[in-house]
Amino acid sequence: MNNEKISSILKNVFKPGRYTGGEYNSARPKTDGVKYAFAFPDTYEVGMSHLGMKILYGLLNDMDGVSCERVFAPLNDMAEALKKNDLPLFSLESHKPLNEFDFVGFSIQYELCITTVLYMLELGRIPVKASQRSERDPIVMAGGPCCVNPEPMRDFFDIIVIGEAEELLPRLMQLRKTCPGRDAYLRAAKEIKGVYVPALRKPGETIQRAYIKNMDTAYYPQSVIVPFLEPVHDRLMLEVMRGCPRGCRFCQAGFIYRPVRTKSVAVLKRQADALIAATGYEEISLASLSTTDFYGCKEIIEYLTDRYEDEKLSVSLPSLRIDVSNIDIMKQVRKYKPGALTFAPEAGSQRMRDIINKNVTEKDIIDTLSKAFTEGFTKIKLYFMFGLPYETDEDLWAIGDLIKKILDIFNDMYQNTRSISLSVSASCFVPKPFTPFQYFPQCGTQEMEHKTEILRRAIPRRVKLSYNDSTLCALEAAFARGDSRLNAVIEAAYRSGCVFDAWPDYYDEAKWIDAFAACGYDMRDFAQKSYGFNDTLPWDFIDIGIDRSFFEKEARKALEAATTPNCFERCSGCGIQKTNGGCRFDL
Amino acid sequence: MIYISHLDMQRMFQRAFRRANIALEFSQGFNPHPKMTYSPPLPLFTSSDEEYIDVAASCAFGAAALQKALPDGIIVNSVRPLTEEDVPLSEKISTAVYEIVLYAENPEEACAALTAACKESGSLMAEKRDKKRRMIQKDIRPLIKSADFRISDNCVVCLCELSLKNDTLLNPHIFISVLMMKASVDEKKCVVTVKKIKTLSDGQ
Repeated sequence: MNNEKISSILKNVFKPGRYTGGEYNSARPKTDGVKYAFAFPDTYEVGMSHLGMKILYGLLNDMDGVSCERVFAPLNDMAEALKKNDLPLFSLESHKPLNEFDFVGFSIQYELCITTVLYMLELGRIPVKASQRSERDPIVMAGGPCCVNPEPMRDFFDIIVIGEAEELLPRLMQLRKTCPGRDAYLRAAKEIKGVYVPALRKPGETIQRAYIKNMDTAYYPQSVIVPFLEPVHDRLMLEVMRGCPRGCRFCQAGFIYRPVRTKSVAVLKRQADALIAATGYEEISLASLSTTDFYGCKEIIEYLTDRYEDEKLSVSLPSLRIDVSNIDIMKQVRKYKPGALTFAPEAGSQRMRDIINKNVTEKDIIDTLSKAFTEGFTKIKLYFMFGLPYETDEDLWAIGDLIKKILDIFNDMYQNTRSISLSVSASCFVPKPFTPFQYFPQCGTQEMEHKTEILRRAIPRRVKLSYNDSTLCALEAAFARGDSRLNAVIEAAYRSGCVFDAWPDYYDEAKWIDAFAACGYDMRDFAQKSYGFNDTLPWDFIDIGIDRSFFEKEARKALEAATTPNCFERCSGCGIQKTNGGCRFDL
Repeated sequence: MIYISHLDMQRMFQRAFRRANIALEFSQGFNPHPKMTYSPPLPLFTSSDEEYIDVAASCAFGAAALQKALPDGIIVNSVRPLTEEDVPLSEKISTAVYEIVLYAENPEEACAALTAACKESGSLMAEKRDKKRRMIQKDIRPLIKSADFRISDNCVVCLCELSLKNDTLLNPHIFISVLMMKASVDEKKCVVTVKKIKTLSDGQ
């Protein structure tokens, strides 16, 4: 690669640090062996916040004979500069063109990043469609939670990984050494559990999800890259648990990451010590879907705050489960970064909370927030959803009532001596595959507008209310629940200029509507499709380990507003216990 | 390294000290941060052979300990403890010596023109933004301690010493913008390197 050309480009783009590499702990690629490009279909700042990439980057670079480099989506100014100078998209570590790698692996964290995948492939001079690739092109792979419904993007990938990659990816790399030819490689790869090769799938074939059994022995990096630029999340991430025991009916992650698997506190201490020493980070986050459900949560927090007191290490937790005991935990972590407490009640009425199986009562909410206020927390963030199945206008007004109750409690306690900072975020519900709500359509745009109008009127003006773009939600739903017909729509949208669709200032609704129409469809055909319990679903051929009958049972219970207890309390026989040989939890 | 902003560098140094297990003293208050002072930030795309950082550390440390914890491209030249004679960094620094490589279609002509312009005694006016971000005219002649031009490899190489004191700091790019008015040099292509930072004692 022409270094002088690259230097002159870098001096003329915004934030050139996004493309240069050279960060502390970044890898020095080996000269021979398998070359893997980890491609994140968003900018550097977003991609460098992603935990999955940190794990896989370390995993691959620690392997003999394998090198992993990073590529992120270049912004417009960089893409234009590359094209003008006739340069392909290149990796950060060695500035290698994307098409000179053996593998290019994309992490699909949300449905709306597919056009950005095509954008990166094309800039990297790789044919966007799998059928057009030849021996000299890299094997293009996808992984991540959205891959549990792979059909809408099947045309663009040679391999789609279903499930967790820590054990699977090394096998795929080793296989490359024995199968250098593309066709032979794909035929052999397909035999590995968790690997979906769209081009070679036979009718009736099922693909099973791969997942690691033991978190303590699974790979976890001992050091991670310390970026120069500030990523969205600029801190160490220590994964404490995978999966969630709660079974909220709207939540895809809660089902596709079953069973719950925890790390032992001893292992966590070792991993934390190694990472802190290797990076010098001043903040560490205990990452999982529901960290306060992790039995060792208090112990690891105490360890970190005591051991690293002189270094003033900050410990942070993601959104908290609504439980009074969690406030005590937060008292310990707030020492250096008194930020907002985040809770997700999701619904305002008890009926609605029971429909979604949140298993939180109004008393829980009131008690928890009262305690938070008593302890001096005055910055609160609340997450709600609207457009949920069986929701009525009363349920939305109830969100306003709940918020007013919370404000009253605060005012009674502080009598105008302090002010509360309360922000509320309301998102439109998107029905996801592999949840009990997978059968339900998303509500239409007009209905969404009606609902947001109620929220605007129900919630007191002094509360900061934000909600996301309704048209973006519809597109997300279309992709989450769609089938292979969407491949043509994606390509049409990309060709008409769609990219970075998850960013509101890039998202072009008109272009997407045209792309759907050009293929003879409408977004609503997919977003608002209703499935019967006996209908075939586009993702039926993927087996994540949960019985479809369980989802049906849960959906019926939702109609009755009947709840299901969490996995720690009692097993509800979702099906995962069969493949797992029973579920064992440390409590 | 030249693509990284000063703020990013500050964050990077704080973490490097943590990695090197060199305990720093923290400021008091709501948001404690390590006590560090830097010599004036370099403009983007300028590399430097010499920079200064004053840091409040709990104990003495050597250059090697810090060097190990730094990313490629940053070299610790030396570390010495401050004494009672030392004034704060901002008061100590006086000038910076820059090497500026300029590209011109006719280097000989440009070199002669620039040498003449800098030998003159009249004012040398430059446009810059003041603290309220308004464009003003400022005479930069007093801020130029010396400027020599020579030809090397078909380029005009300028070795100059410009003021680096906080209130009278002359950004090398402003100096270059003035040079561009005196001779025809390529404004897009120029390479600036800091060769030395001089302090009041003219030693370090």
